[in-house]
Amino acid sequence: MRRLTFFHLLLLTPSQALATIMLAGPAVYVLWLSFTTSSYGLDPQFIGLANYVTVLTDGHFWTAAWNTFLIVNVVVYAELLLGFGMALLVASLKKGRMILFAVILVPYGISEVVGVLSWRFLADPNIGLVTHALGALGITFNWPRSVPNALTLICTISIWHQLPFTFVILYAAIISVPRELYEAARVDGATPLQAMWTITIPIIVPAATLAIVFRYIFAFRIFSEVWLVTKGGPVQLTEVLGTYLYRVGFSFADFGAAAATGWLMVIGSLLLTSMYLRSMYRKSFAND
Amino acid sequence: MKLIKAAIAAMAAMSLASAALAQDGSINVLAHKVHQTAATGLTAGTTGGDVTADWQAANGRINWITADVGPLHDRLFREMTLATGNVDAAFFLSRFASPKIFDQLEPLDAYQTANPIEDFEGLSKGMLDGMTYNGHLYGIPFRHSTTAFVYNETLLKEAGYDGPPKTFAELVDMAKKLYHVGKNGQKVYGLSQVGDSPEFLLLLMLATGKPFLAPDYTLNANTPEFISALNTLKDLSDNGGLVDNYVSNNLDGLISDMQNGRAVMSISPFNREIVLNDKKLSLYPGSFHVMSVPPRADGSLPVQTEVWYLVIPKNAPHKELAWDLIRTLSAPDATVREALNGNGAVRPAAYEDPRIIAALPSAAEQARSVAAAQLALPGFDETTRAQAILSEESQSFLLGYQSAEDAAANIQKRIEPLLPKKQ
Repeated sequence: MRRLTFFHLLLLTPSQALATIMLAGPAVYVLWLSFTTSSYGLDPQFIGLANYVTVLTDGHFWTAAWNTFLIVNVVVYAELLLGFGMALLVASLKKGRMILFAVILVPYGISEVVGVLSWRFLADPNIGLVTHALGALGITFNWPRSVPNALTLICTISIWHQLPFTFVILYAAIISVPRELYEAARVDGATPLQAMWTITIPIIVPAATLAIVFRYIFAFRIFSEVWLVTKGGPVQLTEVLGTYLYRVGFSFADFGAAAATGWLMVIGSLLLTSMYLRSMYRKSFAND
Repeated sequence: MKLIKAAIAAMAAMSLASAALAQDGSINVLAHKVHQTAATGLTAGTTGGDVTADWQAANGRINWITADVGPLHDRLFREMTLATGNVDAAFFLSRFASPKIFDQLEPLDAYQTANPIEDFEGLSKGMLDGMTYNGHLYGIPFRHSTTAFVYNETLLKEAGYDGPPKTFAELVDMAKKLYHVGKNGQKVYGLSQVGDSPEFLLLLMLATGKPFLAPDYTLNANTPEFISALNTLKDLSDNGGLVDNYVSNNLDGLISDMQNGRAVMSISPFNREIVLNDKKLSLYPGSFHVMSVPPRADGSLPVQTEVWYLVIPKNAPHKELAWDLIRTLSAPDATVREALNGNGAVRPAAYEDPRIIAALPSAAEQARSVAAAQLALPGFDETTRAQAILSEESQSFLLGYQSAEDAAANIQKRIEPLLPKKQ
């Protein structure tokens, strides 16, 4: 491979500078803001780490952090399992594959707000169809008065909306597995389950890792499912980091603390995905 | 390649069109939809006509930017931090008033002196005082949102009642007794109220005779009266007197509950009955009536109000034009026409106008309530945080996580440090 020369670097500079300014500029500004006290009509005043202390000693932040951790792990792995199952099913079909593919993708094409509000209506404690259906099965579902019910609804909405993303990545990986491997396994007497365990799963692991990393990062920023359904209630016990940041920044107009929360979220999402990122890095640069 | 070129051309055309649209409006006004409706009368059921028509013919188009209460103020506050804003005039709710915000609004005294509003003294003095700070006036009242008692006469009669409750205590008792499960399996509750903000709890406190937060910022949270208000709220919630999803209920939910017969009564602002009686949306058109909130035992009315003001941001690009529009919208005849469009008139004399008396059966009740009304919460810098604390602790009690006494003590302890220091 040819080494990069000064001329190559010069040609790359404009695009790299633009990307750096567009991405790093706001991030650096927010970092600076997190060390200041700032609100409407007030010039920012430097206060060091006081915002981070305020946020880290706020019980609501830890409630939001725990809820975020819980929701992220539930939705990511539920989507992984459901997406894998659906991808296997669709890949195994001889007819109607494209129609089913399109049907599965529909939730992803619906506006997030429309989807969330539709689910809120369906799960209305008095008139919701879902509530009535669960009631017929003997399950009481009253999310305005029950934190576990509210978190279940939030996870369900998130999974419904984001599952197509994971499904598409896994489906593409599954259909790219060479058919000859399955034929060879069949000749060797392997059952379908054995073929899935020894051929399909090992080959799609890189794609699944990619799906997990992306979903972790996106799910960490969950906001509309919570804000439009519970607004973090009841008793602010369904708050997530996204709604906590919004409340601190835009309801209470404390921009410094909101900026500090934002950077804590960046650190948190990096920690959550570090294992997978490290694995991807090793595999990507294994021969270097 | 042809497709790409066509797409680029279409995008360019759209961006030019949107730029042209932005330049066409002569003045940008940030408002809630109800303000636009009140000023323009462009909704079915309104009879006051377009108050802004002549003004627009003379000065150019008004570009209405509408949003809900929270997003409206969020947008306004962010606009006010710019060197030059995009908002010429805005509607501003009294609960957000604070010294920090006054510093970013244009004082209106000089405009009033140079180009006065017709019959300025006819505007409610109490409302004008609400936006007077350090001797300067920062807002002109446009709309009051004063609590009233709305009830479904049909459902009350079906439940065996001759009429609405005569006292506040009777209202609470009636609400619980009205709960039942209808023939179609639908639960019918006594009251539907908005629960994602604490207005109803504040009213229950006011009904005890003491405000939650007095105008001089004395906080009455850790008091027997507030504990009693909390217990009343829980009693209503646990016994069908209040809709089951109260803690998450919003305005759309409240209107839907009433229109579909899931709740019989509500304490809501005057003129809400116009929406509830909508023939296209309500299952009970014509059944909803409104009156003053039933009185306390001593005959006094527990009435809360919030006031919307017209303000001009300090960085507004067209301040003179904005003031001229404010003059137009605040004139006596305009106030009457806006009331006919569903607005809460801020001139007491408006309720004596024959047109109002003919169109609004509740005119006399409105005048009576406006005279007795108190601000739900006086404005200060940390109002929003205080409301969040009040909601959180009261919900914690409602759901059984703590006692009323603990909730009251926590609210007192957490809100007191946020209040302005008394001088």
